[in-house]
Amino acid sequence: MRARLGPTIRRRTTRTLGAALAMALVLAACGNGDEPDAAPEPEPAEDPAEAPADEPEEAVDDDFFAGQTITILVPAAPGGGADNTAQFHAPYLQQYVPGNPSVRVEHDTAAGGIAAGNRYFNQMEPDGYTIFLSAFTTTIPWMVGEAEVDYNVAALTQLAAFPYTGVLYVSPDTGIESVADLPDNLDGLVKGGVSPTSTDLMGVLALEVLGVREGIQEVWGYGGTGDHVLAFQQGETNIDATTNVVWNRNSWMQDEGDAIPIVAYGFLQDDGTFARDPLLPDVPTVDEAHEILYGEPPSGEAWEAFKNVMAIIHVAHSMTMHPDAPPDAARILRAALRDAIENDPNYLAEWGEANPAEPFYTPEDLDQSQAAIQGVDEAFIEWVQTFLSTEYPDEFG
Amino acid sequence: VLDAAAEALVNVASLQYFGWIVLGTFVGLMVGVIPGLGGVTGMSLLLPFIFGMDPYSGLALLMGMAAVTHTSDTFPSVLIGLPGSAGSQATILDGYAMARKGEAERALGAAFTVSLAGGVIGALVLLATITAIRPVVLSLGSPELFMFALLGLAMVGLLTGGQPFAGLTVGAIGLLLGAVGAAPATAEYRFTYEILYLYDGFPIALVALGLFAIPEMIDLLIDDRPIAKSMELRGGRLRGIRDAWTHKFLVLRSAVFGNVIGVIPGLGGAVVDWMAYGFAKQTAKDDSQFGKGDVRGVIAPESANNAKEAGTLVPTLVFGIPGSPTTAVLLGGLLLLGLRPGPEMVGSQLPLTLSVIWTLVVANALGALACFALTKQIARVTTVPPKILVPCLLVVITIAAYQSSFHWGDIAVMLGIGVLGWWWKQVGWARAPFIIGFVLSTPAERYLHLSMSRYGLEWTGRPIVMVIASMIVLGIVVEAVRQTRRRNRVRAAAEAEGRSAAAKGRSAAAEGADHERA
Repeated sequence: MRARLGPTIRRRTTRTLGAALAMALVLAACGNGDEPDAAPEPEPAEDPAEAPADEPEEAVDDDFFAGQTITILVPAAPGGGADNTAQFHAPYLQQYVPGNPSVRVEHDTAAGGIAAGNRYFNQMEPDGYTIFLSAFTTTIPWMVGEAEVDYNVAALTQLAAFPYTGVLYVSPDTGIESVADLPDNLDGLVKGGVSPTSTDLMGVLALEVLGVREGIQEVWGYGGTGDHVLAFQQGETNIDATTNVVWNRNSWMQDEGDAIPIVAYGFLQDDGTFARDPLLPDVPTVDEAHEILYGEPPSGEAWEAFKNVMAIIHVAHSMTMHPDAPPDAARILRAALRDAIENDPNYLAEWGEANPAEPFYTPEDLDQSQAAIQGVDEAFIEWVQTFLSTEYPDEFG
Repeated sequence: VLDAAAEALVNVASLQYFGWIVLGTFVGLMVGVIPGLGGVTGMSLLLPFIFGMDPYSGLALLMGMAAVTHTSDTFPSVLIGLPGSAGSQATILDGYAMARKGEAERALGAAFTVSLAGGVIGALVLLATITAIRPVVLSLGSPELFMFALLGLAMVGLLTGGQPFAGLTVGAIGLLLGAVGAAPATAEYRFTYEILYLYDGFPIALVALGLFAIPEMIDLLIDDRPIAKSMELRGGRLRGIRDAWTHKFLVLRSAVFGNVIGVIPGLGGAVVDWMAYGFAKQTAKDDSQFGKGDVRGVIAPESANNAKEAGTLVPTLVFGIPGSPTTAVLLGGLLLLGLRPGPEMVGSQLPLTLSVIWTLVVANALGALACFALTKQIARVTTVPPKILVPCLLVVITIAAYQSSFHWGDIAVMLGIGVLGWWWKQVGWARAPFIIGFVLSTPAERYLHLSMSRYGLEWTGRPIVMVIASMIVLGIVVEAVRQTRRRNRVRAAAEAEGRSAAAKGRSAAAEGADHERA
């Protein structure tokens, strides 16, 4: 089943966002938006956005979307994070895509989102007029290999990705002030979550890497991320892990002294270490936390698995195009999104209100995030599956 | 707080916000009156338009809509016995019975009056408690939420229509069907048979339509007679308003109850109308007319379901946990408007929260007035022959059902549940226990699992848990005593009748003997 992860490619180097931004500006000025990455590694042939990279810009059929309707297919209910991303971008696409197409958002929650992925990948006409909002509801089942999944996230062409990472925080009542206090205060720690096969997987693996997971009482089955954050506020739990986006929304807990962030996973770098989350610059990453606790950087299978999972999580939430769609579609949409992000003063201001990290949208960033998700090492994903089925037999069937 | 509340009221009264409230109210009335569409549809419809609006205007639009769906959804519930939205089924029992007796205008008059009163009371209760409500909600953990779910399930006993065994059976089937799909606590899919559509379980709106709308339409066609033989004479609406005034304490009690249930996160308030109905029935001195057209059976749920909307805002605004499916979409709207739900909403953002509450008040008033104005015209639907009415309704509810996920399974589910509902209607089994079991199935299981997993058996000793447990036990005992007494009274009456009949027989026989002798 893991074969659908595609060929195993070494993850390409990830430059810092600033450098990429500068590069993109230069490229934009040159009027060539799709310069192939300088790295000489071969790309998998199934990626259509790469294939026409050498064609001059003039070849783009600007009328592709004129008079058309773009549908953003969201594999989740209205009101959630995925829907928010779609609703946020709809007016920008309408404004910046040449021909000013209408943009509508469609929701399909069947099978928790898996049905939408299957339908987009296998049944819908890949005519380029439907954008798939790849979200955690489709990426995580694909990653852990759920039987119903019949789509390949790695094959989707990324148009823009909205990076996620995670935060681990404790209640001051635990007596823990920083990650250094964690191993000595495990007694009485209770952690809530939705399921180990959700975004909570990040927290599970982070605690495993730090060697403290088994000392913490875990309570699974909360209805959603908001519910276990509320359980933390109620005192039902006293250690919690969530995404940076949800943390950002609840960061008042830190301001009020109700929560102390002790590990912020940050973003994976090309050297296999993590850069700190700009939102929490004083909080150590998992590898730094390991050094604090054990005096050496982490290693071993859990650590490698964590890195691979994080590489996927960083780009799990993205706007994507079907691999068989006309290449013009992806190219025009990428250019339009970049235009909006770079030139519209409202975009980053409004995006930043609810989202802590800036999107990946330059060709370089997208190539790299695409490569990251294609280059995930199957062996470690298999390790994650074995880990889940032995450690969480009830929660992972 | 008072100053801030006054300031917020002035804000709401300004022309621009008022315009948005009117627009929202209009959309809310529309989705409410169409069977199968409700607040969720209205929210999803408006969400794309609020982007770029300022938070005050955006919230005026969304809350204006949400406030009034439970006002206009009374039209189909009373007039044709179809739930106008998932939250208005309890009104059918007595409202529709009144319509069949020709008292549609009276039922609607009462319903709109108490919808308005309930909505306003709910908003005022919220206004008075909003700044102090956080610690209360924070004292409700998983064990308490489980007990509230149990309290809801215990309502089944009040709604069995005098047939306890049938009621329990129907309730149990509801619990089972509520368990279809992904299990709340483990990685299992139940009763899905590898059909992807079933992985999410059945949507509540479709279950309500199937259970109440389909059987009613079948029976209307079989009878082939208009719903009401004749419309009552003038003054029906005024009579309804007088009814509401007569039962003002019931209105107040149901509103406060609806508001409180709405505040509890995770319960959703989807069965608040049934719970209010059950309480009204249990506390009535004479409950013999409930289900046969007692106006109190309209007043209690209609007051409660409008008051609930204000309550569900608390978990949404203050904790970022949606209190109902409608507020789940509202939460997305808040984020699009650049707002962060949390304690700020009752701190630095208090004026905004207060303006939301005032929006509820204004929209409830507007909605009730509009419905009053339209009552006479819309009530005529009860005189339309079923051969014309039913096909139109069938088209409307089929489209409404299909829009819930654009999957043919939606229509299959509605028809399948419809067959069940028709069967139960024919044999005279109450259908309310099914809805209660269905809605509370997942929360009951989830919070029991969380309580056990977190606390072991310790949770049973928590004070709030014990208070709710004694409320449940008390309710069951009281109801059992009442029903036994009633049965004894009926038996005694029957025996008395039997004796007198026998006596008559004897005297007749004696007379006959006399005649023979003569």
